[in-house]
Amino acid sequence: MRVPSNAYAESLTQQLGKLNFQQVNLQKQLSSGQRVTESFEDPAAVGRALNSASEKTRIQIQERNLNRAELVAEFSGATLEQLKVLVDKATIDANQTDGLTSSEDFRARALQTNQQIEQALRVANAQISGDYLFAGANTSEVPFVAVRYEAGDTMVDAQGRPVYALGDAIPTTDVDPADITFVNSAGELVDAETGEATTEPPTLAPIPAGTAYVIEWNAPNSGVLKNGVDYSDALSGGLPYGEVTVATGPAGDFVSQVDRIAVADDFIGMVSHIEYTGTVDPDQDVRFRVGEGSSIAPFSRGQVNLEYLNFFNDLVALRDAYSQELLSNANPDVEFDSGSKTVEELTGEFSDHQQTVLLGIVEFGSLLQGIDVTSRINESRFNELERLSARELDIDVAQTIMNLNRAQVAYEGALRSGSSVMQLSLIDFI
Amino acid sequence: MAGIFSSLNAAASALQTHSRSVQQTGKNIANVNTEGYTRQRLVTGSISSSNGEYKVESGALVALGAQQSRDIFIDRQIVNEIAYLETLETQDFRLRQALANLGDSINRTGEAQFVDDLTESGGGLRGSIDSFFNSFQALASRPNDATTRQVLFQSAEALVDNFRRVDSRFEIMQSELDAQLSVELDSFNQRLAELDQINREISRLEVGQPGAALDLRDQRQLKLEELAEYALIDSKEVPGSNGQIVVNIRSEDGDFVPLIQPGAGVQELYFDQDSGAFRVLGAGTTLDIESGRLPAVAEVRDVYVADIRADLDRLANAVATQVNEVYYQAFVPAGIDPAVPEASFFQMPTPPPSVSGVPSEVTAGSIALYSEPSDPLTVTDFTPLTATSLRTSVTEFKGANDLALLIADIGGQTVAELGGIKMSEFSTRMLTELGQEIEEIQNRKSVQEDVKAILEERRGEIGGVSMDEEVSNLVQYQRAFQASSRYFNVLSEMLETMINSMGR
Repeated sequence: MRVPSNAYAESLTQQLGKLNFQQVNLQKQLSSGQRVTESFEDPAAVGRALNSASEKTRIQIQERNLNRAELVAEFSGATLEQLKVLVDKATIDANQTDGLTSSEDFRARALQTNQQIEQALRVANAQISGDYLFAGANTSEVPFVAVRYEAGDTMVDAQGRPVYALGDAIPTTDVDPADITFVNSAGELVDAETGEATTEPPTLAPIPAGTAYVIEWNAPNSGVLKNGVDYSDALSGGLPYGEVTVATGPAGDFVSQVDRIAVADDFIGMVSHIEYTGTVDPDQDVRFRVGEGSSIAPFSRGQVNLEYLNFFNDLVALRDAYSQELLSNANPDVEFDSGSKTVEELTGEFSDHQQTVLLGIVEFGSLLQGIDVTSRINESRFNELERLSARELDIDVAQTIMNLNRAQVAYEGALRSGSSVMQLSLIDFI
Repeated sequence: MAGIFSSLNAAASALQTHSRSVQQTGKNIANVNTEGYTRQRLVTGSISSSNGEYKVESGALVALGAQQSRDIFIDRQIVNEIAYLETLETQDFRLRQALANLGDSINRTGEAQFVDDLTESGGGLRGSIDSFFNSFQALASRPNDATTRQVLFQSAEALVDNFRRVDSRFEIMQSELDAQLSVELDSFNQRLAELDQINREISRLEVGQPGAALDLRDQRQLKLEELAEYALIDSKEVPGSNGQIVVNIRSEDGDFVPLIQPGAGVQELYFDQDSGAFRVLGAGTTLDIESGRLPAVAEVRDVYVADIRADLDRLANAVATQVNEVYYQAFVPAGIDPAVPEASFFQMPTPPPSVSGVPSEVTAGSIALYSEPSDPLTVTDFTPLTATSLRTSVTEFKGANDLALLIADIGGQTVAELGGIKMSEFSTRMLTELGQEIEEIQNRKSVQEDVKAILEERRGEIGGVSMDEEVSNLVQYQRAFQASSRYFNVLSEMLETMINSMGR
């Protein structure tokens, strides 16, 4: 076989080029720790590793969400612990009324309860990073808003409905329902169901002569009329309490006495009732994505928040119940129907509230446990993906060093053998 | 005895021939590293002369001419292999450039090793898409947090910017390929003209001496190989044309279209932008150039880069449409209660298809965040997208995150328009498909380099200059020269003896 003289040089150059390329690659691998830096070096591995990387960043975000959820749950749990102290105290107080005999005792208890109301409001309106914990999805607004008495106000019950001094009106003749009209505060005749102005009288059952006729505008919808005729359907059609006054007819036969009670000086500045501005619909509860296909709602549920609202308003009712005595003393001739519950009635309610708060604490405790488990699952998934990426892309350092060493030895060998072969030719021996 | 003068002539001719052989060897040695040089050998022979009645013939050594050690089949094969190798090299180079344009690096050092490490999504498209949807995940847990909203807005801007930048890179690449194609065509036509010139000179020199223009044949072969780098051509010697060749290129019908014909000059090649095909000037035939740099550049531009840009457009459109499908809020004019300003996330020529029924037309080059009404004539009130105007819920509650969650979930959902895979997976697939293409090309290139190396080695074995062989020949010719010289001396002495013995 003929071997042309430039074959040595060409072959050596080619070989040195290949070895150089190997060395550069191996050196690059050692310095980066990766066996693959371009997708064409191992497309399948790169595809898997990139998808893993995407998955890893998703898990990291979910882990961050989980951390935030944990914080929210911890704060909420701690807040409920404080509420529990309040509900326990109120329950105990409600059960210990035997020693209360004088007006001053009731006044002191009312003031004490009032303090508890204020405290409960502060606790329940707790925030984390600017978000209210017990507002459902409406986390940027104060969830439990206290409506306070101002001078000139009339008394309302714990639900915000007016308290009336009631008078009985006994018609001397049968009252034709057509003669009972509903008039709004502007003096316009309104439809009992829609509250809109109308010329048609409402269709009501006749009121027999000699029947005590009491209209309780401030009563719950379940009992509009106490004398056996239920007008709740008529009145539940949208007419807000306190905004409709009654005129009865025929004129002069009877007049229902529905006078509002002016607020006492003691009550000015006090919480009259508490309103909830948060969301209630379970569909609106704020959820965080915390894992593959899983999410949690770390904020207190809207429905539960309503129960906390009941607790707060029952605290108001408790205070008002303590004050009932004072109110009666100030207006001895008036029968009051405040719609508020008595202390005895409230005792049972507070037991329920204790349960509600306790369940809330338990719920957040369980949530925290769930968060812990999810976090461990996330960590495990992340580590598995990291191992997969490492297997796909990372170098075996020892093996790479060995390969580099081998390439270096081969390079040196190629240089030595090349130079010695190229130096010699027949011309040196002639 | 044969005529002594005849013998002297023969000796002198031998000396001259050996001298030329030495000269030929010297030329071989001198051109040992000349590219395209094929070793030449002096062909010698004896010429006879009869003398006297016995017709004794005396052969004088003469140089009959020079000969090249060339295998035209290997030469043709090398031309083919060069064209194919050049295709692969061009594709390899350009597709790696395309890969770099996508901008998704594989950098494990920046990657989070632990779940609590800082999140790194990478700088490429895939990273931007991940980052965008992850930002919605984060926003869903902090809908009121100004920083989180700002981060999301920035990630949206980065996504839009990335789409546009990547598309712009490919647009520039297509322009570069246009320019390259034009330059390469000029070079090809220039070399064609040079080849035609060499062809003519060979014809002129080889009139009556077939195969005499050896060095020009070397140059012609080199020129053919240079042309093959641009486009696969076919050449063959035309009988009776004093060594000239015809150079052809294949049409899409499989016929040969001549580029150089003896006596007909050069037909230049051009690229017809309208039909997207190569043609020969003056001939309407569409060419089907199988390999070489020219078809490779055209293929990268019109197939690979065009496909990548189409994929980018599909991806951008999918991102914009899917997000807007959830985010879009239709305009309700003032006077209708409640009046609602139009709001969208990405700027689209029309509202999302689900709202308008009109297909959207977002491309990677046009994708933008919502900043103006979709239809300024009918939409008189709108809310441009900013970090603060960003909606996280369809309700009025600021802490609600239903919208943010829905959009975050889009990132994890498969998209029918993208072949039933997730958006970031589509981006990864673009990367890996291109990687696979490059890997395949590099594997073929490696094989092709070996094939070419084997052929060149074989050609070297046949036509390359071996110093050992040339030096050995040199010694051989030197000895022959010495022997002929000695023979000449003997004849000279004989003649002297004869002259001196005369007249005694």
